[in-house]
Amino acid sequence: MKTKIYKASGLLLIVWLLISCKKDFLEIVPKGKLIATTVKDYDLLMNNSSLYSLNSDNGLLIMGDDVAAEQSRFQNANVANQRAFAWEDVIRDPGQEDSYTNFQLKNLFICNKVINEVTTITDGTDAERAALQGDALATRAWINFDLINRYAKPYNATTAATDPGFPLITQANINAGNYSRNPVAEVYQSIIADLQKAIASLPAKSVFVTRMSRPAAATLLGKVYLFMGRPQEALTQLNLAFADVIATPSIASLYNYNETFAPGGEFLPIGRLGPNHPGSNILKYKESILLKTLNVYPDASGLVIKPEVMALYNASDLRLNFYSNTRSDMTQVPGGLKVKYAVQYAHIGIELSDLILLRAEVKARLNDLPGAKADVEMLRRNRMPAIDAPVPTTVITGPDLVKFIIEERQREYACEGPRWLDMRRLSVDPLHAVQNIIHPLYTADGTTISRTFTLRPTRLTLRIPDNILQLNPAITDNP
Amino acid sequence: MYKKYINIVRIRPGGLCILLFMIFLHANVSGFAQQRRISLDEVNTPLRAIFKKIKSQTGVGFIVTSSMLADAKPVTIKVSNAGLDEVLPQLFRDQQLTYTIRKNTVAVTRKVPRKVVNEVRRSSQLKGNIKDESGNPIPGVTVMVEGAEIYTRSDNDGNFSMDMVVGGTLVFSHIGYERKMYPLNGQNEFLVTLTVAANKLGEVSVVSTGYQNINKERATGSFSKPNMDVFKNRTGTMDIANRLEGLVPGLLIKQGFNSTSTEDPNIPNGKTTNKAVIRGSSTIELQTEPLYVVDGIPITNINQFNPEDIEDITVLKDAAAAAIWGARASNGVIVINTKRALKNSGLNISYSGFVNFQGKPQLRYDNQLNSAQYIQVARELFDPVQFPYQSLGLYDAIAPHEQLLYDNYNGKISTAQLNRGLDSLSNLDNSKQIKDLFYRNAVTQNHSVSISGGSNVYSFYSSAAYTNVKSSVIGQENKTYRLMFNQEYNPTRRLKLTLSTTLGYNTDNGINSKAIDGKFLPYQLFQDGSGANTSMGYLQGLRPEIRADYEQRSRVSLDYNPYSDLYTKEIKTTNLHVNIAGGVNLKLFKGLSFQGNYGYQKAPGRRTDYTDHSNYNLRMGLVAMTVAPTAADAPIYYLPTSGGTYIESNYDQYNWTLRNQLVYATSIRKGKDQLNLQVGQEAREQFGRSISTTLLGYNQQLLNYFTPTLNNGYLPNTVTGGTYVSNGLTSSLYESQNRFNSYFALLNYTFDGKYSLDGSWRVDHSALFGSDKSAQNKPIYSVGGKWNIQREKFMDEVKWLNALSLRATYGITGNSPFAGSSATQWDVLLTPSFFTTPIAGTYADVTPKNDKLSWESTATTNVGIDFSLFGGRLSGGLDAYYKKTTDMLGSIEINPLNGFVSGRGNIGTMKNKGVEVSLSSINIRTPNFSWSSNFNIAYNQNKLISFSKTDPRSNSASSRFMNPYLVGYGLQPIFSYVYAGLNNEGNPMIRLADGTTNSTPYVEKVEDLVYNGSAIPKYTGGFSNTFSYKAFSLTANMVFNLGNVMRANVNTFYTGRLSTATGIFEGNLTTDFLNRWKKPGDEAFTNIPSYIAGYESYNRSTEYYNKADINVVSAAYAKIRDITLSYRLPELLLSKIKVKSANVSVQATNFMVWKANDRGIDPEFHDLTSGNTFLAPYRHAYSISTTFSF
Repeated sequence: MKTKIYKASGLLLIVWLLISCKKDFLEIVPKGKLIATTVKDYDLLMNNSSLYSLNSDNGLLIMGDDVAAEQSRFQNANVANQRAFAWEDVIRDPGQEDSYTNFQLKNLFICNKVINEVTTITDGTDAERAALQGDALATRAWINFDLINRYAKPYNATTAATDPGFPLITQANINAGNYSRNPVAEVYQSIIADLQKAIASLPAKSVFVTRMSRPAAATLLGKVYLFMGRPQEALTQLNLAFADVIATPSIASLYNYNETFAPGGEFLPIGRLGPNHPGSNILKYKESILLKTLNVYPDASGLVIKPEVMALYNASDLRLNFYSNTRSDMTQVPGGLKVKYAVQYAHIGIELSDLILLRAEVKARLNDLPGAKADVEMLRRNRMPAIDAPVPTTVITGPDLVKFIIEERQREYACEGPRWLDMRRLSVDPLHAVQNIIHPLYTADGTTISRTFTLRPTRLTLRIPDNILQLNPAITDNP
Repeated sequence: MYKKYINIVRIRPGGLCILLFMIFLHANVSGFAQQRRISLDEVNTPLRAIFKKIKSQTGVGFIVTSSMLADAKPVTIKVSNAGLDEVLPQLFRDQQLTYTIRKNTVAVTRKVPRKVVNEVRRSSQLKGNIKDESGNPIPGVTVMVEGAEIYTRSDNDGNFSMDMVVGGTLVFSHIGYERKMYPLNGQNEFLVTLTVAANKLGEVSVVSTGYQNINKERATGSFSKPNMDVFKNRTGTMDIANRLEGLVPGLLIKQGFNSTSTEDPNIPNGKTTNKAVIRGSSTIELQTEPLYVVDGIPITNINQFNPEDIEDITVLKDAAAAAIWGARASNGVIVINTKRALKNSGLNISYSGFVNFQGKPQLRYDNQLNSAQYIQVARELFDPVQFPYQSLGLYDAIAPHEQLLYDNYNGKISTAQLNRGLDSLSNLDNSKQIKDLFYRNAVTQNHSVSISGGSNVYSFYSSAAYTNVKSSVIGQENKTYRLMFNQEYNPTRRLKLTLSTTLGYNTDNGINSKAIDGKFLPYQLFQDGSGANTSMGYLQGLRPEIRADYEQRSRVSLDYNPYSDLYTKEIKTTNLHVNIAGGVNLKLFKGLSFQGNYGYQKAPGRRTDYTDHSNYNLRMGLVAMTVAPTAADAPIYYLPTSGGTYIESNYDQYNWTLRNQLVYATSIRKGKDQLNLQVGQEAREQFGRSISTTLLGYNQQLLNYFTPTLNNGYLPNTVTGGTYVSNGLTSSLYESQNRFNSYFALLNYTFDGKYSLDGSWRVDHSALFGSDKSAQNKPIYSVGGKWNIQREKFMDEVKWLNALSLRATYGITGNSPFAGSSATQWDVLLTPSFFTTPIAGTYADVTPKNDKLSWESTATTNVGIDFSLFGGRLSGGLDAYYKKTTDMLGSIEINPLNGFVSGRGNIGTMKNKGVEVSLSSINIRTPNFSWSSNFNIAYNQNKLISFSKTDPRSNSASSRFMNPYLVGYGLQPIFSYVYAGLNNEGNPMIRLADGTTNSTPYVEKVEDLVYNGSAIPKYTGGFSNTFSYKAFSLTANMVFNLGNVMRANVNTFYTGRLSTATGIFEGNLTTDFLNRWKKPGDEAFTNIPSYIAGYESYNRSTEYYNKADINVVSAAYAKIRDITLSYRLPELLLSKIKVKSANVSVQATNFMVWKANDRGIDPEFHDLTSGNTFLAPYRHAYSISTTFSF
């Protein structure tokens, strides 16, 4: 009897053992993780902060010819920055990664993932999917434009078809390989194609200023054409962007510094980190068509503004409020040197001022001088008293006006990075190429130049990061 | 009989002056005395005094010589109303004397020596047989009549015989077994079963895999068991892995580091040790810790168990031993069994406790400059032109000596004032204050009480323990309370139920402790002459004028006072651990049984972190969020000005394991062969959750807090400039869950008791996310065989060989790539725990899929020999293994063009090969004295054979100093420059591969470096010796690590300001700096580079010196880890106070016996690859411990 009970219970146990593991036992979805399946998932992926709050280690600001450095502070800066400042061939030690490039390449992965996958899902409407894909395409174009301007020669129509560019990456696959450098022309064609496709599907105003919109993509396309030396096509795109901004003023509008710096104005009071303006307050993004920021402290490591750049300003220019002879850490800059202490955030996306100045330049190059003047004065009226806003009467010819507009760009963007890109594109412009580009190093008195570095034309193009070369044997480095 | 007494007196050798006292008592009534009752309560009383008492109580006199009384042992006795015939046997039990009762007297005589007895009565003999629990005869057991010089040993069949003795105690002792005692009351045949002392030196017959207990004779795998006596006595640490150091060949314990880790860093209450590596690392990026199994259930937090409750530990090293544990077994398995009661044993109560004193850390381990030297150097180096006062950053700390120098340079103070100031600094010395104010003597104490007992049906072991760890850092205290209850219930012959329950409660308190040692400015006192705490605002970097301005405008003090700051923070952590493991064993049919093992662990924990408003960082945070344009403006505060910041984190985790198996065990061919088969299924779940909340302006008493009015915005024009406001009221939430399901089978077959075959097979499935499920059907398996050579007929002749066997195993273990966040099929998006952007919602990150990811597998081949010679006097084993890990999982270099620089992937192939030898010997064995030794040494060579992708980092010279691995080398390779001395400018030079010398930085290539060796020891081992004399035993355990190299700690300060750094306690230099190159010609006698203040220092590389071959030294050392003297109190004496056994030990630890480097470096407190030295927490620890059992 007893044995039977044991036998029975034993059998029961075996049966229970066999059924105990239910099929769904292993089907658990971990918290905080998700596989993208809906339009909303992909949409939120495009909100990733890496797409708008960029890695600040990009070197553009240091390589611009609008800065100089104080030796006593700069000698403590990191070695890569010191080498970038000296325009050395090798900026990073062998094996060291270029974090900014890695950052942009990861953003490219996100864009490629959205571009390739959003069309395969069934969720959402066609228009939603197309707009999302447009966003990713335009962002991919923005990244490719950034990369080609670091690692390839400035666009030169006669050699672009053979100049080595940067690999065109179109898949989101970590095991992809066999990359080689596509020619500069192909990369530009791809950028144009992405932007054209995006413009067709993007809305005039995006859900948030960090996301691509039609005027943002159009301004970028205009900029690309200008970099390619095709002002006529650039004008078409810039006009398109203008039309959107005029039709929907909430996309972006200018601060009038005459008001914001007037008593009780929005940028006041001027504290120890300068005025309360977009450069120090990231929430003031009214002027941005596409907000992308770099967190920079240009003065902390000893960068100062070249006195020649300071000389470009009129005494009444309210942008002078961003400069000081006191650093943001409240220490004094020696000699008569100035720092741009008020900028912690360089805006390197697409600003309304950029659209205005690009169109002004394009118009000036196309000899529409009144149009160009009107554009540039539109900006200047918001930056200084109206009486000083008109283009000086000494500026007469088209090339004079182009030069004036390029100087206006320096006044607007000094020590924030865009100068490096201008130096590059102007280098292939026989009329406006910048000559004798130097970086002076000042001794502790702030007046004596102890050392001068000169930019060699080859170094307008950076060497390709070592880790990319090592893992991609087909990629040859720049000279 | 009387005659005999007279005879003995006569024959007594050397009895020149014998005083004979004859005490005659004249009694009227004969026999009366013997009926009188006796009451005695004596402890260690001389026999003479007891005789007097008996006489006074009964009138009975004693005839005895004074020399007999002089030799007699003192007596402990407690009787009341006892008869003389009851009392006398007790009194004489331990004596070399015997007695005869006559009318009213007791005649005392000496016990007759053996030879005499032989002559007098010889009729019978004492004889018997001694076996172990499994019925095997035990040779070499010492059989002794306690107190008499009578002893013999058992022969190879366990038999013994000696002349008959009545009275006294017969003691059976063997080094590998528990002592056993029988009273000699006339019985002349003894069948003795000795129980293995798993914790004793010598052979251990049973190994446990956690799935089954195997007789070691049959086990094919590589199993090792530590000497549990040493394990128990290592009171310096409560860390279980730490206690195993040097006891198991091939088990490397990393010393000197606070190596705890958690399986999931987000749930920190499941802390576990991270110290053990078995047979070399077979992985680069994954955890290298072994799997810990307690009572058959895998455990994540091993240190919840009290070392005192551990009965037995088995370390599984090869695939045959470990593969049954599946995917987690690649690093080896440590199987722990907790104590259980013996069946049919009486109630056993025992206490054990220890107090361990460690003292204070050695703060001046490095040779740092003293104040006078420091000030002298500071004067030499001061360079206000290179480092103008105005160009110093806002948060650059300016040390007091530097402030004086700058003030003098800037004309604020006179040179006389400067000299006075510096002179007074050079006369100060803070070492005593640091030691007194920030450190205290570390003490660890532990007390455990256990009760066990059992009948045939039910048995239990329970214990309660309290551990208090007071570290040397002021304010840190850790207390643990543990309860354990192990039960076994056998309601019928067929059913066995076991249930073990442990409960642990741990509290850990801390304050805002500071790491201050000899590296801080040597003159900076922490208290002035009157005992007031010294203010050191400069350590926070704001220079005096700016600090004054901040304070004025914000009206908040920015004084910083490190000693007061200690008590501005209170950190309290409490963790509860519940562990329940149950087992069912049901015999079904002949040989077939069902076995179930069920484990559940739960560990809720809480950490509260209160930082008072008086804390410097909190005050500074308030100032940064205060708007006050001028000192006259009333400051507007955006943060609370009272209360404190309170962070409360709650953790919860639970794991459960469920294992059902069918076991079939049978004998074939009339018991000649044994077969054991098991199949089963295992399911597991791990769950963890944490939630954390931060409150600002929290008042602990009123429980109220402050709600910030600003969230996620920019606040311009604060006292410090402007600041971003992040949401101060943050909560974070984390949850993780994982499940596993496995099937397994085991087979053991033993043929003719000579040949054994083992096999195991297992397949693991885990919950997957983003991966292809079919990829998981990859089994893990092992096979092994063993040949017991001494069982062969032809070995019968070899009498001196007691055991000899040969083992060989092969198996595959592996690591699943799917655990964690890697995926092969889909990219996994991760959500952030809170949104930092104004946009509603985002995904924080993407984990890209890797469709080429595959399993990591380790193939292990192990060959071993076990032997035992000369009746067990010398035994040991030798193992050789080859472990090859392919498709090693880890962080792979991804083509950066694909968007990621690294990700989870298969990185390459690594091999580990090695030899392990362990020897145990009993060198001397006499009844009263024995000396035994235990020696083990393990050799391991590990090498990274291939790497799936070329690692660009390995192609630059500088990267070789940082890489923890390199193809073609062992892990942690150390490379160096070939030093060529200093040039005539005091800059270091190296010799390049082409023979030229070079001092220009960055020109060196990979081929210009030399390989010095690995930082991982090639040879590790232990050597322990135990000497026993009567009840005393002395054990010394030595551990050694050989064959590795390390970078020496060198001065690295060659440029910049001599000052301190912001927020940390640094600034001093080693005395090497004094010997640096100073002027041309110095290069002839120094290798230490010159100091160059500023920019020009970029034209040289001091790394050429720091990382030079002359600064790579051997890291080999041997230490006496501990030396223990213990005394076993006499059992017979103890039995009078109802104590079964008692033991007292004293221990001292950590004596460097030998080290290969001449730089005074203790490699245990040194980062071998970087050359940084750590603060050694103590020099030697001393402890006293005791155990009693009742």
